[in-house]
Amino acid sequence: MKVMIDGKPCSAEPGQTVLEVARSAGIDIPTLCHHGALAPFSACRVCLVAVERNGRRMLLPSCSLDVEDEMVVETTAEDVDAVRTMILRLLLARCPGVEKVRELAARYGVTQSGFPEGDDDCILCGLCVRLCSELVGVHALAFANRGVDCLVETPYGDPSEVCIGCGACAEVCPTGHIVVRESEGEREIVPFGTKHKLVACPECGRGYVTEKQLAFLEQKLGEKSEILGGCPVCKGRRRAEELQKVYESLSTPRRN
Amino acid sequence: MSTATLERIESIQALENLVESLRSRPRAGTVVSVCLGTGCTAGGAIEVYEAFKNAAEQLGMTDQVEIKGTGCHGFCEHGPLVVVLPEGIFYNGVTAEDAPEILEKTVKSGKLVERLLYGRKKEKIVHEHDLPFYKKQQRLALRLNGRIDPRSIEDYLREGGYLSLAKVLHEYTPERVIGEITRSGLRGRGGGGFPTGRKWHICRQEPGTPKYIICNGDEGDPGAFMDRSIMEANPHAVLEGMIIGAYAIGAQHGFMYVRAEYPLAVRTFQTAISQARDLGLLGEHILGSGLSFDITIERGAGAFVCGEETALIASIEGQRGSPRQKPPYPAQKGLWGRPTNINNVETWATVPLIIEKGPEWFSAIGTETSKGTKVFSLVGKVKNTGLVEVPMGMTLREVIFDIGGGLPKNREFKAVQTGGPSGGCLPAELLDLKVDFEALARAGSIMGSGGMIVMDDRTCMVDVARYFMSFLADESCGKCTPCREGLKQMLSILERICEGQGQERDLEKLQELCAAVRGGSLCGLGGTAPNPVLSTLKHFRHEYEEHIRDKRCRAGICKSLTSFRIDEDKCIACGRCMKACPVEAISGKDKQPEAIDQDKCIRCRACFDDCPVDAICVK
Repeated sequence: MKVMIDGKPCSAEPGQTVLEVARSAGIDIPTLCHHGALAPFSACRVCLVAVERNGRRMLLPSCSLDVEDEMVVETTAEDVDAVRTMILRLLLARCPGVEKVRELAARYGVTQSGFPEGDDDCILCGLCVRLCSELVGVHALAFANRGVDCLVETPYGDPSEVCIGCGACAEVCPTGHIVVRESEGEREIVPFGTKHKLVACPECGRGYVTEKQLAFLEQKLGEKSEILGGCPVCKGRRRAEELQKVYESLSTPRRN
Repeated sequence: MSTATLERIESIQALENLVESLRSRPRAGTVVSVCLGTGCTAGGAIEVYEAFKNAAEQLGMTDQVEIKGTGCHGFCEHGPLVVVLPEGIFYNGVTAEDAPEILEKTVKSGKLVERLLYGRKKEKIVHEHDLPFYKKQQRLALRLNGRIDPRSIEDYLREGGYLSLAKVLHEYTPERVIGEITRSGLRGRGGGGFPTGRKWHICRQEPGTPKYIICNGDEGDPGAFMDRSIMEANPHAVLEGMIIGAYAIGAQHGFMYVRAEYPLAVRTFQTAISQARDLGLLGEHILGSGLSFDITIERGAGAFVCGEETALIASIEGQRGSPRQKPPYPAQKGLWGRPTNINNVETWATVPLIIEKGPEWFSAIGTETSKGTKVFSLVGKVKNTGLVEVPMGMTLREVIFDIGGGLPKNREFKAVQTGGPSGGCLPAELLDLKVDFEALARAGSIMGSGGMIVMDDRTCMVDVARYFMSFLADESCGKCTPCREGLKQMLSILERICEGQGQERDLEKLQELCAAVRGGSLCGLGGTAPNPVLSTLKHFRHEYEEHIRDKRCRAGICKSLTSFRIDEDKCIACGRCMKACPVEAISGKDKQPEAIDQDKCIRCRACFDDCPVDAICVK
């Protein structure tokens, strides 16, 4: 099917979102709470675009908007830009110290929030919560409280019993609110206070995975879990050495 | 009330026979209907009811009179209410001590107890239907409030209850039911105003099972109690509507979602559902038909946002009560991803009536686009506070002045806020607006669930906007940026303005925020949150400007912006102000006030409110 984005005709397949189609066509739509591996959350509202629905002009999040044949989309227009600018100002007021927010705001010409500022470093994008639920499946994190008191937390703010310490939440966190800290064979997921013992690589002795994560992966991978036998660095080096032997054997002429 | 005497009804014919036999059973000639709605109960109605029961026994009148506890009559300002039926003799402000006298004088001897009648000494009104409050109402959704005991399924059956369900199961295909509801023009009564028949049709069209229906009893608007009254007074009308809906849509199970703050409504439904099950009106093979359907009660947990359909659905699923992006809509993908039809309490309660009387009858009431009646909770600065049900198209003036009796102390009307926190304030110029969905929207407000708050000249419109913003900021789920952060900033600006810290750019900032919150929010809570601000800015901008520039609150509400003074020309030296003042800030002698000490004055407004001639003024 064909959809029009900012006057540019783009080909699209049923089941695609406007965001996917736009990005494929090289049209930039900003996002904060979107992740290709997770179901759309439509919470940050930065990806809003204008479409016409039942004769009415509406602003809808492109991350969850399914394409329809002959759809006409505007990623930039007076109303779209005004809403986006205000959202960036509000985020800047909430998290003035977060680099990702400052960068995105600056891209759209917003350098001052114009509001009294706080000093939060979480934008409540929910990537950590959703990833832990949808992909990892242990549900260690959730949103607690309502409104401006909303925050990402483990139950009652206590160190999580179900967390496996994989650090995926830190990996996906765009602001640095969640970080992994390691020292003396222990990994801590900050700010939740959950601590894990690290398993040492039999070759180099470096702690490369938490006990719980190892057990979790062994359970998931079953017989394939032999790949968990050492740290990725050592595994990589071993593999490289094997490959080198293969190349060397290929360049040696065959004896008849 | 047990259904021990009633057995499972196996067929439609059996139901009709049962209704007939209940109707022809010999009963007491007089019914004393004691309102046991929440308002009257707070005023001692349970004691009144007990007193009647005891007195009837002691006077040996139990064959002659039935003492019936009924649900909310609606005229809450004047409770506890007692109506003697069938004549409809209306007694208000009744206490337990009055019970024996009413039985002896009115029931036994046909005489009136004058002091308990409504009205002033020379202008007493005897009958309920003659009261200005009730005269102009058209009570359809509220038709049985005050007439039946909500804990008695027999009472409901006797009034023809469940006969619409029988009619539908006997004579109508599901498509025909949807057709009738569509033709009636019924639109959702919860606030959305979406055509009910169309919603049912969309849900029916979705393939597969299971499908669900939900009754939204989360009623969260401050001051709204329409749904509570229907749930407490006539639960079976809601159930019957839901069962008819289940048949039409092809749903297997229903959920009755009631906010946890309505324990009486929850208990009433528990009883009603249990009775309906006993009689086979819920469960397998209802009335011997192929329809199997049952209902589970789910309670809310204190979140206004769970009145929003997708948040409500998340709540039933056991998830955090945060809304989800629409589309897809619940009719296509709702509870557990299944097609789900969700309607408001008042909407469901209207369904059996439309089936009974036909869609043409219903669509003959109301306006071109808004058919039927609407229940409003008329509250605030109005003499006759309570629940009113009127045809769509009645003017605000008629509701507020003819039914509501106008403003107390005949103070000047300033504005009426409709639609709760999602709605707007309408000024005096719009009093002749004919109330319907479109007219209210055009005027910058909404119908909402039916809240109607009347305001007088001593209401500060900036404070009203601040109040609603405070409520919404507190209730925001926090998921989306515009609502969570935007409402916080808007509230901060409004609070500053009300505290005398308003700045020149504040109004401009407010408008910018309004546009972004309205256009960018994920759900209706955020989407409509700017309405109170926008409507007060539109109609009462001068008050905002006075607060910011003149540092003055003309209504005398915002303490930092108020000073009171005595108008000596108006003063009649009655001394009430001096007596009322809790901090002795008014000096004077012989009941003649001379001055108000501004340092002592705490702006409590006791003198302002108490002065009989409005001689205390805002400087």
